[in-house]
Amino acid sequence: MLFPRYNLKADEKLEIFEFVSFGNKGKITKIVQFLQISDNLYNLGFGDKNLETGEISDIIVSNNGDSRKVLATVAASIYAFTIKYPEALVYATGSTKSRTRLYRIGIANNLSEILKDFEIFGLREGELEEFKKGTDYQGFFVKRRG
Amino acid sequence: MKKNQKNRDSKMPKIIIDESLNQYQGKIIFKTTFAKAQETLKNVKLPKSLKKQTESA
Repeated sequence: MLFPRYNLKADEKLEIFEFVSFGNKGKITKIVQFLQISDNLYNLGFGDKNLETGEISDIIVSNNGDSRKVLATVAASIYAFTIKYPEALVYATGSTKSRTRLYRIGIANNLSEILKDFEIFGLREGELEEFKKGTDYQGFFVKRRG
Repeated sequence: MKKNQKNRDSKMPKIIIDESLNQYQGKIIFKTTFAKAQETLKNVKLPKSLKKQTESA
């Protein structure tokens, strides 16, 4: 089952994505960036763009009431990015512990669907392990299945 | 200039290529988070299967 998600804009390399969240606080522009750390290892960055100042921040808490749809859209950007870069290993963590927890819950709630297309690992105490529901992780690794 | 990208399968989201986003290419948009990720991952041992792939680039 595919959850509702927002339409995405992207740069020509499919490394930067933008979408607009529509919620109880109005329209909020979101940016997702896949930035290379080393070789095929990429960091996923995600935050809000202030259209007046141009500032982009992953610290702002927007509380726009559509977090499920926003997460589904971020997941869609991972899907698109890894179609273009199938060897990429994507690392994602929240800018705060509560955001990392939100990501963990989002992954756990959709794990069976995610596992059809991706391998997913959690980072705990400096070690990778297969993602397990109910376990706290520092971050997550996503790799498209070959 | 914008152009539509054809969907390649049902899970592929609808994407519009927007050249204005090219301005961010290669730039670190989320500096603190990226630095934190670099620091965290510096000492992380990747599983062999993943390591091979990341080293092959």
